Amino acid sequence: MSVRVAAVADIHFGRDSRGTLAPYWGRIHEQADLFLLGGDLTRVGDPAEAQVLAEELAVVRVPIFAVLGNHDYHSDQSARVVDILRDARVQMVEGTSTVIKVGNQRVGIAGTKGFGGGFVGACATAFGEPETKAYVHYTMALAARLEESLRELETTSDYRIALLHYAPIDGTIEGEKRQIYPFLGSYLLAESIDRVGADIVFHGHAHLGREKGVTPGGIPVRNVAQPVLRHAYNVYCLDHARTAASVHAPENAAPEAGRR
Amino acid sequence: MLPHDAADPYLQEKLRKALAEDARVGETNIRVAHAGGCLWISGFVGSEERRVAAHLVAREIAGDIEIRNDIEVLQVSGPTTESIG
Repeated sequence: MSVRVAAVADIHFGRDSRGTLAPYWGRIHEQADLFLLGGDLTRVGDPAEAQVLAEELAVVRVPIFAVLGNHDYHSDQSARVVDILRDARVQMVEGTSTVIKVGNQRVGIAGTKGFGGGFVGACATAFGEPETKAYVHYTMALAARLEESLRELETTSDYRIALLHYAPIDGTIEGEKRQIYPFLGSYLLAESIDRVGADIVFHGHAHLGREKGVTPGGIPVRNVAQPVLRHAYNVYCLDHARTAASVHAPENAAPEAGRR
Repeated sequence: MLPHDAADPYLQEKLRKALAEDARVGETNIRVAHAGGCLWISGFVGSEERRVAAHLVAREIAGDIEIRNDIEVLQVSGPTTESIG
């Protein structure tokens, strides 16, 4: 049995966003079993923006999981943003994992916002000033925690999903200026994921990147930043019986028979 | 170097910084180019209000310098579906 995952990131909700996505999100249950939000949920992390999003999410009829992004921290009120989203039935998976049942399948979701540092051949190292070390150590800690969270799912899940905001590979940020790659993600996230394994990785943050990539270990990565997708969300069908990824339906895909 | 000077070598970055940090905009993904005496801003934002706000902030930073606003409001459609084996 397959599991259908709806995902989007970087929706940057503001007070001016009311009513923009609910018409699409109200149909998610026809096409997906769960809904993932990959950070940058608000414009500047204002609780009023989170409240607009919470009201927009009221139409969603499948379980919702999320991590925050850098924008959600900007107003120094991330705890309040999280509270508002939790009240809206959003399960935050920052630094943790959770398992839900979809039919007879157990789906594990491990999440972290992640952070920057760069990619193989041009990444920051914990050397020199304390500020530089702190920057690198922060990413290292988040990557290590993600690895632990995925490991917790090894025996409890049939499918494992990693939900991030920052990019774990440079393949899905191609299109951005190379000078800012160290601010867009870190290879440490991919390294952690590859060590433990997962069925798919979702992230956002890189608006000028591209949707599809793969970790060095062969795990599919999808950059679901809304400016990349140009869709209210996309749906990804995980099926261990399949061996290759292929787009099989155009816009407004109808749910496949027998998937629920 | 005075602010609002078309020859200011830091003008492009001053505007990019303002578009991110000014509470009226808060956009970190607007591209800014400074060439030929013109400031060019482009990219996608979530609403017309944000497109206008970006232009206002650019005007404040740029003074009399010409601004070309090619920012677009992101239009989204329904989902696509991908099978992952």
